Amino acid sequence: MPIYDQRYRRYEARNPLRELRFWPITREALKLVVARRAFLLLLVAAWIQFVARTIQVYVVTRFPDAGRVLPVDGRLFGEFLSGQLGFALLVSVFGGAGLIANDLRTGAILVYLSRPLTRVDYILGKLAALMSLNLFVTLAPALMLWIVAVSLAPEQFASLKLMWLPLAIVLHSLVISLAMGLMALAVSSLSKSARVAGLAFAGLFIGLEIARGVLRGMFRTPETGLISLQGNLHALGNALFGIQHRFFNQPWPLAALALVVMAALCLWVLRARVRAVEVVQ
Amino acid sequence: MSADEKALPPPVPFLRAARAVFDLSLEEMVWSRKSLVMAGLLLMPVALAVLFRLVANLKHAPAGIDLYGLVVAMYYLRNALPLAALFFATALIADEVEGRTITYLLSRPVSRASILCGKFAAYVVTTLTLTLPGIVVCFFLLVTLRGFSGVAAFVPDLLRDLAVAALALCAYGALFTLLGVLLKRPTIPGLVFLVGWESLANLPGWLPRYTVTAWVRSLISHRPVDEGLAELFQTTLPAGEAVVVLVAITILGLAGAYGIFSRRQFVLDQ
Repeated sequence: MPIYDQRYRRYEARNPLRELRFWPITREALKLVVARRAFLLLLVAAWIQFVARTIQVYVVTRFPDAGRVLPVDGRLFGEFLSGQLGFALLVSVFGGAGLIANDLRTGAILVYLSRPLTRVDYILGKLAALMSLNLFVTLAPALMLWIVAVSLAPEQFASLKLMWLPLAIVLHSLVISLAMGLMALAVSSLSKSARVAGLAFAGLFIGLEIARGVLRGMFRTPETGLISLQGNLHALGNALFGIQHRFFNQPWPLAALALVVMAALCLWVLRARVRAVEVVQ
Repeated sequence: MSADEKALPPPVPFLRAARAVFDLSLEEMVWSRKSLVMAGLLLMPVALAVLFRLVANLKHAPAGIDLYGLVVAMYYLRNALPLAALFFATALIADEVEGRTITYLLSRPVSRASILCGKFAAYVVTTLTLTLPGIVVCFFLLVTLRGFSGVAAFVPDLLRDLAVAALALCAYGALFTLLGVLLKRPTIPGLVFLVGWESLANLPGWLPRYTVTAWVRSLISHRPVDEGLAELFQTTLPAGEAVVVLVAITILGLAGAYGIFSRRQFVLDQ
């Protein structure tokens, strides 16, 4: 067509290259994190409890008297997942602190959002990376432990009475990973330094928990635990696995509501901070 | 002596150089978003104490000194101060490296010892400024729950707590300064130390002696009811030894940090 016949044409952005637009972000974020040897060591260390619990299940199945001291039932998995919270914190700090902070520092966020990607895709991509890492230290070892327990004591763990266990494990692991992931990302979006974001997230996580301890000492009511992310995750786990705990005994519906409020707050922070513009002051 | 060396200006005396670095670092530390975050953490007990005074039924409330002891022992000394030290002290040199401003510091005629000391002094002043007022306000808010009578009897406790908080900030600060100089990414090892290693303080035998927190908590008189293993095995170590150990940790930590910082070459990524 001759050039003088060319008319103004409306620009049409190309269609997204794939259905799951967030996947390249997740893949690249995972590649960057997993390339660090120290992080791999941390992931391996997160399985130490799995080994210890496997030994516990083995000992109790071979010597039933030991079950009086170390009971092996559904509660084992709730306690296991509560024990993994510390590793979930470390994994979130190591893997999640820089996810948005580094993009804000280098200006890469503008490059991301100038591609055929929406803000939701960007956040989903980062969240999926962090959730995968968290699930690797919660869901994977817990499910593996359940398989080991079923294999060693099928008459106990493969019974109808405990058929709900895998579902509870998946549900609690997903809640832990989602809550930790959202909070880590929200804190990461508030700073341009991965180190500051990591320490701020750890400070928030631990600070709210110690504030819970102080409030409990002051008011002596279980509802004081609602301010702590850790406390709410424990309370939800206790309800799912039927654990009676002396300290994390706030009502589970309230704990679930508190987690929803925390998640909504994190999403609001992410919505405000993840933008395709940079305000230069 | 070569002609080039003769042309170099004489190095600035240690104290003057340290003072200059202190002024610069203090300005950066106090007026920063980081300090705002830490102020939130360190002043949270004040908000909790105000809430308690407003909401709680004071007739059935526990004794004010017990609540104050809980805040000092459980909140400040065991958790918040070590976290604040990790937050600030690991960043003393790392911030300069990350911001690529370490070159400007190292190319001035000041010794590396004066840089480290000036920055550490700024850390101590910043964290004390954020911590001590919080402890004092908490003391008066909680101990005066049932009036001002008898408050004077607890003032020596308050003074002791303030001194222990300062000592704890110095010991943890020196330890984390060493970690910050030693490692490129000190956050995770620091957190592992605080969450993992420091839990040894709750075990029986000699294990508490290998932690900092056991020495720190031995210096205060408050013994709040604890959760978990600490409830069973809380060890109290001799106070005299505790002071010596904490001072030794501070000196050794700073000496180790200086030893590494004085030899390290900082090659910045382009």
